[in-house]
Amino acid sequence: MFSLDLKGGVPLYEQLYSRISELIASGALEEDDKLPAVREVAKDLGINPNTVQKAYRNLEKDKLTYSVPARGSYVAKRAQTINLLRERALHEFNMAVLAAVERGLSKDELHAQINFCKEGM
Amino acid sequence: MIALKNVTKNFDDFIALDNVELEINKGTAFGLLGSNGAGKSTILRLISGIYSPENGSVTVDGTAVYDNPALLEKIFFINDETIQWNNFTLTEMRDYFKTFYDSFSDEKFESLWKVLELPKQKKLSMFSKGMKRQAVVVCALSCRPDYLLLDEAFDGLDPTMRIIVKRMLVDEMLDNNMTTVISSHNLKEIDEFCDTAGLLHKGKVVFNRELDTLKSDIQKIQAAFEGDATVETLTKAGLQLLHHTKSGSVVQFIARGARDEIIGKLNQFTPKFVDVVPLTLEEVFIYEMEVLGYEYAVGIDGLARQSNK
Repeated sequence: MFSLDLKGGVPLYEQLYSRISELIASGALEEDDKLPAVREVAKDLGINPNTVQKAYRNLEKDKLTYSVPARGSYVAKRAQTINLLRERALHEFNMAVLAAVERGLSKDELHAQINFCKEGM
Repeated sequence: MIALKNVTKNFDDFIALDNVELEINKGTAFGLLGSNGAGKSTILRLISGIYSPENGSVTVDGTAVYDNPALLEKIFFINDETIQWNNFTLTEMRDYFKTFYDSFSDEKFESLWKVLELPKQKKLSMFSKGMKRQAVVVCALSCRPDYLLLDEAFDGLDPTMRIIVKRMLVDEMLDNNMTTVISSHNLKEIDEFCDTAGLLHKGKVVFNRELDTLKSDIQKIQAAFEGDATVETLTKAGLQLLHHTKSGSVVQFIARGARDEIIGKLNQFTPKFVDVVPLTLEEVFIYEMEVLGYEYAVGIDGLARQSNK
C-alpha cells in the first residue's frame, strides 16, 4: 500500500504524509479518490493506528485531503498539493542558497551550479 | 487513563520502584523501556493489581486497582511466563477466562484462534513457545479488555506472527479504544508500534515522552569545522552533548535540542559541512543510558554504525 522506512529515524507519520503527498502530486492518487482506511494502513504496516490518524489529520489540515464524516478521507484538488510541494521545494532551495552564500560561494558560482544541475536533467 | 503517583515498591531491601510518576493516556500504545531489573515488570504488575505499592497510588480510570475486582475485569496482563497454562487446552483456557471477564466474546475467540490455526483440544504443554504465547493473546483479546499489558510479549513470536498479533491489536485499538502497554527489549518494535514511551533505570523514570517529540529533541550531527570543535568548546557554545567522537576532520556528536537551534550554535565554528541525521529510538535509548553510566554503551559504536546503514 504505502512503503515506509521502519528502520530510519524519521517519524512514521511524517513519512506517511510525504508518501501520500507525493502520490497525489504525481497523479497516482486522483482528486476525490478515497484514501485507504486508517485501519487498513495500520494493519498493513503493523503500526499504531494513532500514527496513521496523525498523518491523515495533518494532510487534512494542509488541505491536501478532505474528510467526509463517517466515510473517510478523500484527495482534495491536486493543485493544492502541487502548490504546497512547490512552496516547500522553494523554501529548501532558499535555505541551501543561504548556506552556500554563508560559506562564501559567489552569485556566478551559484548560477553556474544551477545550469549544471539543469543540464543533468 | 493509568496513573502512577509517587509509587515506591520494595522487595526486602531492594528498591524496585523509587517514587515513580507515570501517566498513560487512554487509547494510546505505551512502550516501557529499560534494562533488566529496571522495574518494567513491577510497573505492569502494579497496574494489573498483582502488587500493592508501599507508597503512592496506582489508579486506572481514577480508581485504585489493588483489590478491586470490578476494575481488574477491564485489565488483562500477559505475563512473560506461560508455564501456568501447561495443563490447559485452549478451550479450557477460554472457559477459565470467561468466569473472570464478563466482556468475554466467544465470537472474537472463534475468529482469532482460526486466524492463528491453533489446536483447540491439545494441552498447552504440547505447544511450542510461540504457540503458547499466541494462545494467551487469543484469550486476552477475546476478553476485550480496556487495558492490555504485554510483558515482553512479542519476544517469543516469529516475524509473521508479530505482524498478525499487531494487526489484532490495531483492531482492538480502533474498535474498543483499547490502551496497550508493552514492555520489550526490542526497541524497533516499540518504535513502530507505540506513540509514547517511558525509559526506566534503577526504578526511576528517566523520560516519558511522545516518541515523535522525543526524537525531535535529540540530534545526531556529523560535521567538519574550520574552528576547533572539541567537547569543551562545543559545551561552552551552549550545546548539551551526550556523545562525541572524532575521526580525521569529521566530528560526530549527539546533542540535545531542536535541529535549528543546534545548527545556529554551530555557526561560530565555521562549518565546512553539517549533516543532521535523525536518531532511531534504539540510538536515543543507548545514548540516554550512556549518560546514566550504564555499561550497555560499550556496544555503542557498533549499534550506531549498524543503524546508519
